[in-house]
Amino acid sequence: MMHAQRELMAVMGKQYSESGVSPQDGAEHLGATGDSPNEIMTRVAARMAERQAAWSTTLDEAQGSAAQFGVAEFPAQPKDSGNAELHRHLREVNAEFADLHNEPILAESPATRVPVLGKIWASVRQHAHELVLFYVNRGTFHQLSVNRRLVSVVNLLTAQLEEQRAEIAQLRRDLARHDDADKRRSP
Amino acid sequence: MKVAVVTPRYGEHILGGAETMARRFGEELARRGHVVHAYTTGATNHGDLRNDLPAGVATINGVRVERFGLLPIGNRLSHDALLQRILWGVRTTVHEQFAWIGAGAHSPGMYAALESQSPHYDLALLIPYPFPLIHYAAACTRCPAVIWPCLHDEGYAYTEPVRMLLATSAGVQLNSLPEREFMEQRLRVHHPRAHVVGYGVDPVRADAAAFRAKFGIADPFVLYSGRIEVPKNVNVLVDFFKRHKIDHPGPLKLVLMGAGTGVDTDHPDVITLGFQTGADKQNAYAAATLLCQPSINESFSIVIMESWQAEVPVLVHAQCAVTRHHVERSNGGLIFATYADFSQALRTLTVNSELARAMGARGRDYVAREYNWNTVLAKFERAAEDWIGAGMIAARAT
Repeated sequence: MMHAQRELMAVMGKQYSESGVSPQDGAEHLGATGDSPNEIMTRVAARMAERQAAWSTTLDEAQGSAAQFGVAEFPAQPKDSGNAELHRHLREVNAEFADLHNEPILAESPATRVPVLGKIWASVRQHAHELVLFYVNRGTFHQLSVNRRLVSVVNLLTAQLEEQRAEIAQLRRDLARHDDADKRRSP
Repeated sequence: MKVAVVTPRYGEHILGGAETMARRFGEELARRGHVVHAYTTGATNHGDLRNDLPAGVATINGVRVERFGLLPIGNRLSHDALLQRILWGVRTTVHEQFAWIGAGAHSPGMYAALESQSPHYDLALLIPYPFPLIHYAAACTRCPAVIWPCLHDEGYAYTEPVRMLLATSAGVQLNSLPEREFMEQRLRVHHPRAHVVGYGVDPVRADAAAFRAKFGIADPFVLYSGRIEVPKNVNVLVDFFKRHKIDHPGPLKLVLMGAGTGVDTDHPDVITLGFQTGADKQNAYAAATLLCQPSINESFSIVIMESWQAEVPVLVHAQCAVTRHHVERSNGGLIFATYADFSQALRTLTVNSELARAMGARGRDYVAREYNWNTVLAKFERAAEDWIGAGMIAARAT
């Protein structure tokens, strides 16, 4: 058996033995190229990195893409909008409402390096950490849902406000035109 | 034409809209004389891809199916945290989004097979978009790779890897016009070779009396069919139904057909049947007074088509552009946004059986006209000419 196939069987064997099925994962394809699963993954990941690099040239890596799903569309500021402050806050709240952090960061503890007991302590810390994450994530999810709805409401109201403002301005212009015409007609 | 269908889960007993579509589409293409091979994994569970089925080759309803093993996810804790952030719409950097694609469940055997075998196909159809495996498979495919995304308005869709997958593919196959509008307006992906193909719906031969006899349900009922989960908005359906029963007591029941967790279905008038297939599923459609599809994340919705095949009207959520589009075009049902709409719709369709029948008939005609396999596969073949032509041009250019 080729090295690549043996390695594949080793990787898959653990999972297959757990699931009670026999390992036969595409060994003939791996055998044909002589590559190990790791080599294939490295090759495909490199190809993905190339595609990502080409794609990302127009993107700002640090900013990431806007988290917009389920949110009513952010209204563009009309050129003649009289309330620049409102639109500045709106832009900021749309940009920031999804900036929450729930990365699983577990701080180093020197006690985990103590022989035997350290491993037990590390395991306890890990489980406690996962429990904390569970509750924090529940709260985060709820807060995000509320944020998403509130931002949607503000976006919709602002769009409506701008529409009404434009309509009122138009009506005022019409009224002024009629007034002028009346004044010209009157002796 | 020789077509490779690439999808993480494949099989007659696999639950899921996109997975059912991939399988039935492949089978109908094969029946039409095309050569169809499916590349899939041993995974059966939507939420957790792992090797449930053995790797190997089999022929299922005319389609050669090859299953490959999956590597285990390396760091489960950080993968799940990242996935959660993407799903919830927490802001993530482009780097994190690509890291999620890299850290997902992958199948090197499948990738090696696609690298060596895909040049022998006219095109590869990759479905659906949220799985990292689909992104890597697209990068390994050496024939025109067409993405059949089944897009939803959800966290995954707005990530840069997904926008890249769609924009750099040879083509995009879409299920409906609203899905195309979503891709163009919300995701800002304008693909010159994006085609709305749709999906064929199989004729339903249903026996309402057989369903009532087998499951012992004599009362009129509202049917839900699909995953019984919060992301499908089933909690809203159950909640609204319970309120409706307080306001309008009577024999009406809510029958939930499918599997899932996280929804409190404990109520004397809510009946859960579990996952049903074949005749039992079709008979349930015919026996229902109406089918309710509360989900706001659908790219096609097979269940409303199946309900219409049984001439039963549907009730859909106003926030789902796709199901609303179908109902508005067919006039085969009603739309709800609030509890008041929902309750009024139930009253209308349960009291006015003539109106319900007329809506069901209009829905049936709509499905027969728009979503029969001949029409859908003819659209696919026309789109494929465009995709394959584009692939040849791209190959010449490189």
